[in-house]
Amino acid sequence: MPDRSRPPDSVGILVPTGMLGAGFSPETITRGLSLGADVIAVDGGSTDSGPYYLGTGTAKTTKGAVRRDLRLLLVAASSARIPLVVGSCGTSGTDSGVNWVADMVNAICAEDGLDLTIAKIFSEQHVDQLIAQLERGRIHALPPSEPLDAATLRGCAHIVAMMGHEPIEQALREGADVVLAGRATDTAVSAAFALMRGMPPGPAWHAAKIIECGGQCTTNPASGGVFARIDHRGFTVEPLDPDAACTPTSVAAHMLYETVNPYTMREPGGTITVADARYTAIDERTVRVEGSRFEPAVQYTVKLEGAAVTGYETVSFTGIRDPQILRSIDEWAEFFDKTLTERVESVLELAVGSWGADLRLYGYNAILGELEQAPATPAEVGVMLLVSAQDQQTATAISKLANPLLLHLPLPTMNYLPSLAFATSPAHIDRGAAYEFVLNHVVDVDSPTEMFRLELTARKGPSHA
Amino acid sequence: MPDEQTYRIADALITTELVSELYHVAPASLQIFRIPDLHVVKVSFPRPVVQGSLRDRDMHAGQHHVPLANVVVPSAWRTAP
Repeated sequence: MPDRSRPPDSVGILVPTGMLGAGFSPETITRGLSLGADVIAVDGGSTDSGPYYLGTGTAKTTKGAVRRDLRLLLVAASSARIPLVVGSCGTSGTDSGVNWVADMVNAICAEDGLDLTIAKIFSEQHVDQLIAQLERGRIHALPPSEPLDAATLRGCAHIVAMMGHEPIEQALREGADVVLAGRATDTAVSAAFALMRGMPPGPAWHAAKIIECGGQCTTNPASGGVFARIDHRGFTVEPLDPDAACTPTSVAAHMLYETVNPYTMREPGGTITVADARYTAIDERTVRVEGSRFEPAVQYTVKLEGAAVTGYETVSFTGIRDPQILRSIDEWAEFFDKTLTERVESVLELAVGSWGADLRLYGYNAILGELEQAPATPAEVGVMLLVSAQDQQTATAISKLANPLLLHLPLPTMNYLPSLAFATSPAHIDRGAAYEFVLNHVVDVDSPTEMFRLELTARKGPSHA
Repeated sequence: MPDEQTYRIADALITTELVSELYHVAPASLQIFRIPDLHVVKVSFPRPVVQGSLRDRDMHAGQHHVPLANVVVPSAWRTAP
């Protein structure tokens, strides 16, 4: 193994895009390699799009798009002999997500004759082990959540723990060319290699935060990828697209994104603090950042994410163009809610509380609801009725009772039945199980890797560690 | 905001009272960050509706900024606050 006792002067990190499967031009990869990338890092998932993906263990991105991106990245990593790290595989980072990406990677390597060692890091948690941690007092709520109980854990369809950089570093040290991680913090994916190489944590973590969304920190967010070089005093960042630019404002502003507090951000092992960071334009498209700090925590904590089924849903849609109804649309909606409630109680004998319905008036006040201060009388309204019940059959039955109301409900003052505009026949679509995130809690751990499982395929040849 | 002058207007306009009233949230739940170097005022408060729940009409809270963006700047302020 080559002598790695002296850290290099700097480490180059290529982030091709903010999400694996979002796509990028091959030129950006060529450019990143020519800048001297030492690692390719890319985020494979997110909780942005809601709990469904964790609840079902399925991916938001489509296979063809992910495979296309993976092929370009694997060929690049292989030819440059640098590692590729993918975090939060399969959107939610479930075990099925990791295996989904790994199957694609294995197929591409076989097809293209790439000889690469693949590491999988699993982050899904067993309920019984978490309940044991709970009983030992090792699980704490993050504000504004309540303390956790065992029933909430048992109700989750899937639970993942969010890894920091240590499991990824471990995989690299054990010889992985490709690391496919389950749920990981966005930053750990690119910070891991830099930290392994001895770069200081302040610049490594801050750079990782800036680059994790790819082009978001540039003047053209659609431009795709970015390149950061981390050294012992700070880091430099530039877009991979030659027509885009990083400016001190675009880079500093990224700390405003997806975080409550723009100055500090908690990672499993400590807190990134950028209050004293200084952003300088090196040229019209490159920014230098110094003064970033990382403060290690007394207790290493691992955050849990869990999704539970909250009901089964059906969605129905109708359109209203009749100006008389539209002039009194609030009254119509109130009459609808009252009439449906009575029908459900009388026909299905269901009391309010065992089912729910949300009537949304698109074109009027659907998005902002009661925050809409003075909505104008609309020319046209799309009415969406979302019904939730304890099983699909009931949700569908309620929606079928609602159907004649969505088609013919008049204003109380009208002396005839209108006919409204169903967009499809049937007018309803069953959505199946609906999920919610039910965990906002952290686990105190003795070791950063104890909650994660590493699997490495065998390989010949030197490692990247 | 695009420049120093408009930042000063936003800085003066955006108060705990204004945000609390516009978004129907408790003042104690708000955090307001004023960043003159970036011409930014950032407001944070807990998401009022659980993401993906029955009454969530905006999964990504993508349109949540509109009530604030729609606040009319008093005409007397348009030269200086």
